[in-house]
Amino acid sequence: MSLLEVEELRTGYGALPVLQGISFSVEEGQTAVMFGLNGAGKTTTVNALAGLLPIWSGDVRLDGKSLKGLDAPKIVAAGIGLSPEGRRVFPALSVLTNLRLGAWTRKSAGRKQADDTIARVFEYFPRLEERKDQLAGTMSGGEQQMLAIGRAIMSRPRILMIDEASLGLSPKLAQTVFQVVSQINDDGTTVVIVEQNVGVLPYADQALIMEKGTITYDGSGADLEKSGDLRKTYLGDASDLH
Amino acid sequence: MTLAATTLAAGAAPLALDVQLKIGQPFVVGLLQGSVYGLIGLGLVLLYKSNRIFNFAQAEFGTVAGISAYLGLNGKLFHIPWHMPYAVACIIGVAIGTLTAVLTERLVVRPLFDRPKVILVVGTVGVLLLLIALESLVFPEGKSLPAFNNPKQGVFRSLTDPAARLGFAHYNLQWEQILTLVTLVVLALATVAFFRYSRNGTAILAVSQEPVAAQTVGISVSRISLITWTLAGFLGSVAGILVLAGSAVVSPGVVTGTTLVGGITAAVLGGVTSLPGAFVGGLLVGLLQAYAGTFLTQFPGSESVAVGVVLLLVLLVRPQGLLGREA
Repeated sequence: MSLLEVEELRTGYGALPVLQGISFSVEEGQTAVMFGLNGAGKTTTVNALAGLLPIWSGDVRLDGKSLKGLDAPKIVAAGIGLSPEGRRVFPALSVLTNLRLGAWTRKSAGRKQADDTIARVFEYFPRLEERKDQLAGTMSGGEQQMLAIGRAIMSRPRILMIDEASLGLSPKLAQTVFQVVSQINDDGTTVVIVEQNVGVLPYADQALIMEKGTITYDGSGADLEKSGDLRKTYLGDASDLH
Repeated sequence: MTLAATTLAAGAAPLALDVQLKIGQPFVVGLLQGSVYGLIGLGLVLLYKSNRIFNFAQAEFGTVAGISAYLGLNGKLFHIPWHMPYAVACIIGVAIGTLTAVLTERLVVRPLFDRPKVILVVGTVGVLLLLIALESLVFPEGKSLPAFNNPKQGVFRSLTDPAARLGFAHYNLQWEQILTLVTLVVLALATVAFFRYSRNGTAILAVSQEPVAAQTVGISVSRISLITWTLAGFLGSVAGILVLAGSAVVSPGVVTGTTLVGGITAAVLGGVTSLPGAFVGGLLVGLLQAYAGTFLTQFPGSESVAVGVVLLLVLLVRPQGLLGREA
């Protein structure tokens, strides 16, 4: 049984359908990367998995248990964390308060465990420790991305989803973020990344390509790198030019 | 002693008394009225932080509380023929006012939550008008709520002399005024402490800044909204009871009519997002009104004009207010 199973998932915004019944699964301990052009349905997918959008039909299962009908707080508590598109840090709160809020669903675990997780986040992103008292909104885009990922880790999720990890970052900083995410994965957290930057491919155990609300490729990252399908997705089929 | 010196000495005492009456008395009155504005302002800021809207029904929760307390005191609340003790009637009144805020959140704000903010604001105006209409149905005639130290019905029955007073700068403070001031300051400090030190207070700030991100960390936006409206309703209800106790008349819409503009000005002076700023803003508005009423007696209505002018000046010159930062 896979850790995450998505079966014939359909959802959208208002009455507008976006996902046309997608199915895929992610094994525990792997890094899955979801590629696709703007409007392909990548963000809609992770938002539906995180409970930010209702599931119209189909099902999402975490470790065999259906998440259908659960709201976002319950899904976080169940073990899915999301670093949302656009980072969305709490701008007028300090870095430390942002991180503490990330542990909102783990109140019963106590402050000690929250402090341990914060220490772990600071190991991944030392820059955050240097800026722990700074207001999140005053930090650079790269630092805010680190904070958004760190905040998502605070709930100690079984699956960490990161929407557009490298958007707006320099290639060097994007690689740094990918490396840290790889380290988080090595430490036992299953990772799902939504990306347009092919630089993340070397870190992908599994790759998915989305087009117009459907999944057109689901295979290993290495195979995708060889096949050229990703090039076709972003640059189009050469035959289209004739 | 020269004649001039003698004359000056003879006139010194009345002059001092006059200065204290013109400076000290408005100061006390202004602080009292201002702290009520501050409390209404706190409620407005709370809801602004949470929902990013101005709640025009905020002060009306106070009228609901005051009318409920009056009805309870006189054995007319929900047709229950029990003449409640004043303190019980006040507590019941605050509870009903708070419940009104909770119902407003559940029945009006929540269904409109994803609509444009202007729709939500109009929704609160609708609640205000509806509440006034309902109050007119159950409480058409203007009545007065007794003062807390009223010898027959007041909370402080032991102080049988309604004029029990403490001297302060030639101005005699009544126990009721002291109670009002202490209650308002304690409530204001408690509200600020709630935001600064409590988990739910931080969550309200988080929801106000990034509602989507708040959900991704597991905060229930719906629950936080309910907590905020409960708090705001409680503050408005307490403010209403304190305003109406001992006032000349309790009538539909009275607390809105007497405090909403002052409360809005207090919130704006504080920068709309700062709780301490709203309370300090309220005190400033109260003082301004009191001194305008004392020194500009040749211009009737100068108190209200002064508040309106300050409101516009702050909006035009310093829209971020005096303490315009999240707190």
